Amino acid sequence: MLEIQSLSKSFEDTLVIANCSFRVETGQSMSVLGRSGCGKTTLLKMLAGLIAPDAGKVLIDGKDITGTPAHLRHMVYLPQEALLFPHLDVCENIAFGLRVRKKSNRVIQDEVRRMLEQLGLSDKLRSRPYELSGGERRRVSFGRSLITQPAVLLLDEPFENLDPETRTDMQKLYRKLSADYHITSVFVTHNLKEAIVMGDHISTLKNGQLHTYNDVHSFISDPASGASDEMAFWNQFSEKNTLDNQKSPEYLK
Amino acid sequence: MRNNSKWVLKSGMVIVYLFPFLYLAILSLTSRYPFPEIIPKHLDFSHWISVFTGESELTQSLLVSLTISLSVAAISTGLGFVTSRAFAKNNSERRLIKMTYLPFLFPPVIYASMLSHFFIIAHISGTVIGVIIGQVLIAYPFAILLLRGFWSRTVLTSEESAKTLGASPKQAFFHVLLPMARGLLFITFFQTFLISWFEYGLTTLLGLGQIQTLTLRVFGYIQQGNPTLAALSSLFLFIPPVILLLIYKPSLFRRRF
Repeated sequence: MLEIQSLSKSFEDTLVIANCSFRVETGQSMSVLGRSGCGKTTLLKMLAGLIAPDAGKVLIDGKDITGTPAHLRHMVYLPQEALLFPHLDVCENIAFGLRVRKKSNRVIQDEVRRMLEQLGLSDKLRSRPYELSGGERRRVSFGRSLITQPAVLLLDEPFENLDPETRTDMQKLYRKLSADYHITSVFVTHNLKEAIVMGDHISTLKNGQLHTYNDVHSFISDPASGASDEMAFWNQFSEKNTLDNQKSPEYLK
Repeated sequence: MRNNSKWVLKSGMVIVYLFPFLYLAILSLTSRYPFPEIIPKHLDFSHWISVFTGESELTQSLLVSLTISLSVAAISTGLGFVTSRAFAKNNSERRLIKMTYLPFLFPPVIYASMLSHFFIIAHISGTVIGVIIGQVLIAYPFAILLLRGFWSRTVLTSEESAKTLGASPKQAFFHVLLPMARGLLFITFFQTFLISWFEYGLTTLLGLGQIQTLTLRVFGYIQQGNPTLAALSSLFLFIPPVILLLIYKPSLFRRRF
């Protein structure tokens, strides 16, 4: 279980994260919705141990890991771009986390083969990152993170720059892998639909303040979340279509 | 017809590039080369033999030059890599980069005369160590400026990703950063080697005439009016950069990611 207690961070005079607290149960996913520049990446980097918070605590299963260095936290941070290591092929990119943990070659081979099958990339074993499509790079990036079986996965707008179809495929793949590996994750996005699809719980980050909703319905019914406006926007087209259909000649229906 | 003109052009370029080397080789093999002889009648291999038997002062200079230049290139590239990384992570990067340009505001000779006072106090004037330190003070900021372009947001984020995947700072440095920077590190090593290899003014002042590098020897032979030894030492001056160029050719001409 991941627990955040009163986490705060300022850069010079700007308060980016103010007294932020939440809890994510093991195997659950928390979506954090917020505009660009609202501090989502700062929040994730503080959880990952890449930025030191000014105040507050980060706990895993009740253990305080606020001062623990990033490489010992067992929390993997996935940045916005699928940054694969350009000097390594797909196999070695996925194996990276196991290699640095000095696992045996046999274990690494078996784990990587299994992961590649799950990702549908068995034929790309020896491909270089520059030979992969955007979606394939993203899948390798997931595989590289999941193979280490992290305590928490921190996803920083991971489906940005993907076309809508690939994006939907990736969301489904992530949900499946996340369930298979029983992964606890924090998923930040500025995409309202994605926040609903990806999160078991949803919270919004605005002016440094994090507001967590109990369930999706309370999120949608809160006017401040913007969800009701979004639904009203799409509903007007749905209603228009219905009216247009009623007016259309029979042979067009 | 088109193939013929290509062949003529290629042959012409080869002759233009090779002529200085051939001319120097001929000059180094004779002490008498009267006009209008194209190839001298008497070839004398004694100077070449004395270099390879270690009897010539050129052998000593070649070893001194190699020691100094390889040390300067290795130290400057290593320090430059670490320093440029520290600059990239510092909020005052622009100010630090401006300061890095400071040593280049002065001509090397004036810079060396300013340094020589401190080198005398430290008892390192006229020593190989002193010359290495003096040259590093020029090559090191140059290496920082060359390597600073490597530290993009992509590279820094890759380092962060590696750490969260479980790599210690040392593992991230050796398994991610160094391999990613390999090509640029080769270029920096080559460039700083060349700075040191052809350095004259600073080496003369800080070496106090006791450290005779190959470049200093070439100038010395020219001043003495000894074309044979000047040509021979010039040829040796060319060899290490050409070898380095051949070794690093894939890195120098490779497309970057």
